[in-house]
Amino acid sequence: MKKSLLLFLVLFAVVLCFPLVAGKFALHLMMEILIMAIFVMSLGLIMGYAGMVSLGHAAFFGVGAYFVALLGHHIGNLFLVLALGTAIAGLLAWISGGLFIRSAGGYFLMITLSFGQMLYAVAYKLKNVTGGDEGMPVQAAPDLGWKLATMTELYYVIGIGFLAWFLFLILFSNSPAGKAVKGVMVNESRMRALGYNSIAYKLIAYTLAGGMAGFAGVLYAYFNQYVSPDLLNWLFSGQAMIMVIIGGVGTLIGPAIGAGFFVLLQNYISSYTERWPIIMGLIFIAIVMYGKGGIVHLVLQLTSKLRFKLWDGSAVNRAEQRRTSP
Amino acid sequence: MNASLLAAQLLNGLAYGMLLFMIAAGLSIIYGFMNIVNLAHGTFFMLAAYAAYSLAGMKVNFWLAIPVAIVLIMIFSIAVEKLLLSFVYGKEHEQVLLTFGLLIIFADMVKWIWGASPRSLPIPPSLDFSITMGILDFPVYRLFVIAVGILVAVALWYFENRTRIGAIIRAGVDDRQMVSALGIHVGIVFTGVFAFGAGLAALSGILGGAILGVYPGMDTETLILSLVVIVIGGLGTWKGAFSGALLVGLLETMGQIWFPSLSMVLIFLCMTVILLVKPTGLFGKKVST
Amino acid sequence: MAKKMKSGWKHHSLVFLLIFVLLLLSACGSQGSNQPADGATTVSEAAGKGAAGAEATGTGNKTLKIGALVSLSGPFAPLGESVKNAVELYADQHGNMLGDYKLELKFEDDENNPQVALRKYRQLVDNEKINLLIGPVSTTVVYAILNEIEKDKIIMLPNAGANDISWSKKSDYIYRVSMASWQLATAGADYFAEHLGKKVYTIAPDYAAGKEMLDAFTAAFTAAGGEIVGQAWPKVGTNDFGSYLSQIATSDIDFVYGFIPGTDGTRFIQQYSQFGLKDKIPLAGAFSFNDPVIIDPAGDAAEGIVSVLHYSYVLDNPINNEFVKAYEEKYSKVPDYFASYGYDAVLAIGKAVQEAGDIGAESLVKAFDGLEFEGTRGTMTIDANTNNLIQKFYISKNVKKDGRIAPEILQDLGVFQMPENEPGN
Repeated sequence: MKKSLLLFLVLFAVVLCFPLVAGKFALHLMMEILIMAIFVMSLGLIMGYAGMVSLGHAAFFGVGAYFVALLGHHIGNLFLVLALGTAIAGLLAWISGGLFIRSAGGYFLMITLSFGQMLYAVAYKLKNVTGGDEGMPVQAAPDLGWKLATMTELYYVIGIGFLAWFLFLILFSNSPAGKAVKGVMVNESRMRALGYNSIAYKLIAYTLAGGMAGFAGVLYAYFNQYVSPDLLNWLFSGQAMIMVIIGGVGTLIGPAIGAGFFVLLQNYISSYTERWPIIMGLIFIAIVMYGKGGIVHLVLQLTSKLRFKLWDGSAVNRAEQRRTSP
Repeated sequence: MNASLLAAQLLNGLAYGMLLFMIAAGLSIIYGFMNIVNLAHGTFFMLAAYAAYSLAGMKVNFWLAIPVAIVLIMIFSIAVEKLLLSFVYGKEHEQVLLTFGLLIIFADMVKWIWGASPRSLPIPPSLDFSITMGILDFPVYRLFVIAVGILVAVALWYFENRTRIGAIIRAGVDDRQMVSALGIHVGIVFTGVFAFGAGLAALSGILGGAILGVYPGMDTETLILSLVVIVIGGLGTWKGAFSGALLVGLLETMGQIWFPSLSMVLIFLCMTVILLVKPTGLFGKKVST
Repeated sequence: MAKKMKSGWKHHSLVFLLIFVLLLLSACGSQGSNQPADGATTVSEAAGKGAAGAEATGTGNKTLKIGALVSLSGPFAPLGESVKNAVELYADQHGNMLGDYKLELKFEDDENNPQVALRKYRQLVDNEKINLLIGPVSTTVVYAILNEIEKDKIIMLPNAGANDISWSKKSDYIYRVSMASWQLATAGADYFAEHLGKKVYTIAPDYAAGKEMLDAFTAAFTAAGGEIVGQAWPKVGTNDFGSYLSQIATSDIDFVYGFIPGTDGTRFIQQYSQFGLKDKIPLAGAFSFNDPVIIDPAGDAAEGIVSVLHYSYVLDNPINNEFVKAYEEKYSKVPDYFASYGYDAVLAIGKAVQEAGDIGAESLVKAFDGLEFEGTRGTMTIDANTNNLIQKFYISKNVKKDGRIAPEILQDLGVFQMPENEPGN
């Protein structure tokens, strides 16, 4: 836990000081990276901690984004919008998760995919409400009691959001509930035998992840000032999954690194060569063939001397011992 | 609503369904037997169409272009399987990342080589006419596609139920370790099955190119539809792909005219319901883990 | 049953070689390639290699950077490509100079996707620091970047039909040298009602421009005594029109009116013929049906279609004659609508810069207001009330001439000017 908090402080410093050195374009890029990082971390939570692979996670992101587009203008206050958006997305995750979590591995993947696509289809077809496939502009302006005027102000809101969720994940993964969730992923039947309601814990993780994704979606709407059904599409969910895998499944900082990596490639490299997808695809393949589990694991191996462990795997064993010992 | 219109719509839906069937059958066999998540399955479909487009540009006869393009894609798929996929059997995350990487590489490569404008495969002159059905003419080429689809279905049924390899595959879907324990070289069978699945997708791409066109993005569009098809119809048997494809094909085509705002939602709703109520699909067998 | 990750050196070296080759190719691939849909090449490089004649060294170091955000992929790709071709042709012809300014161009592909468009737009404005923007081609994209244009005070010359940029969303920074959906659809409605019949089945893609076109057409057509019997709204990027054509075939109508831009249009024309409708039910439409980039790939299937035209390579005026000749020489095909839009945009910018004396946004705004300039369609005026072009429209019919299908002008419909406010307001 101490190591994670140290990492948190480093990130805090980076996020704080970034606007001092960055130009307009770089700042804009960083904002996108931070938003995506929140979204990808939420997926990393269920993939790496709860072992649930979902191809429909973008649905929660999209719900948050459309919430702002449709109602943000009427609600006004940014805190309120964030809270409501997160709650709605979380609620949706809780309901759908309740239905889907019982499905085994491969089926869970498919059902999250189809659910996400269903929401995508709804956003696509309800032209009068959502603008259909053309999307709709976001009228709402971020309002924290004072109207945010500059990009830098919005950047700090996003940065603080990212840091807050990162801290939350550290705390959650070290809490009894979080450890139980990880235990369920590692060995579900054993946890059940220990008396844990595995479904309930998975649902908790899924709901949290959904809310978090919605939070990211809300921020995105203010940032991009335009929403479209693509935000709900499985391809976007797939991209997020890629970012988790690249960064390193099961790690805390992995998803954020994966997000940064992907967004940088997409924006920065694309101004040098139009063929950036090929480069990106090759990197993916190289990571799979030689990367051994993602960037974080790669870095860990290279710096194994530092013993920089980000998640304490022995916690589960300790928890188990505590329960079974007299 | 008159009879001619209904008949025409049914035929349109059937033709589209047959194209879906061929590509879904390939995916079903690969996913069902080898348990591989292959996001690049649509890529085979797309590459075959583009290859056929180039062959057509070189004035190669349509009937010759079909087998040539199919063989090219099958060779390509064998290379993919041998050099890349065989290293990640059983590792779902890696498969996702690897095949996604392939997907985006070839999606862009296609734009690079052939340009980003959508293209069309020309209909072969021998099939480029229409027959009159009541008050409208119906293009014979679409009837041809339906015929090919039915042929493929029959061939798959025969293959599955009457041949030794079919039996091995059916057994493999049920219990892979047992099959290997029986001394059958599963590795070669794997590669063969993978290539066969890719070949089916290729056939669909070539035949579909004249109706649906050849364009960047056709890989992901078809991928998602084939996933819907095999989920609804079920994995592991040709019946699943066939029934799912017909259902989706008809829904899509009829939906275009009669309930355009609903057809997309309906298709995914169907998929969700099936997954909740009968996850193995209408005809599917349980996927071996 | 997974093989071990480590395997023979042969395998590794093969994979490495493959990766290396592909990396090399892709890194070098975007420069010097002749492929049509290369998004982000800078023209200065490409033109510099092949430009004949004129000096490229400018007087002083005044540079005008023009960005172009057009669709270079997707169904509208041929249209975006034409814009690019025409703008590059201009640069070629004038040694990368526009008046006294050295011309720098940067093209980006919006993929007909508002999200991508916004991202590319930011790149053009924040990273590349463009002075003006040509494009987009798609009405959807135009509406998506409107707010940004206003905020950044960048002058934009779109090539899309979007009505609202002349009405409710009119902006001092947006000037159009293409046409507006309202103009295109209203012109010709009377002619069709009179010559083809009063019962029509309409078909247009389900997006902003499609709806605007059909709203205007319906208003004008019903005012002329016509009746809309049936409507079809395929989505943009529809490849298979079978179901719609089957329905058309079984409807009691006099003709079909279609607005289907891009490659969808080519496919529609082909399939219209395949379903036996070509000689049974007359097909009429807007400009796409006489646009060479759309009808050439369709071949004989495009014969007989009657449509509204406002630019063609057959239009006879000095600028167009020279333009057509140069375009054909460079690209081995005749220029189409979007080529003329692109070329005229550069001509308009040139005239405005000349009148304004500098390239500051404020002075350019004043110059563009009511600007009159010589273009490929003759003398053209930007109407100060709508910031849209006042231009002539014609009716044309596709006939077979010299082995190809070409538009033949049947009637001059006169000048159509957009009303200052949206009709009904």
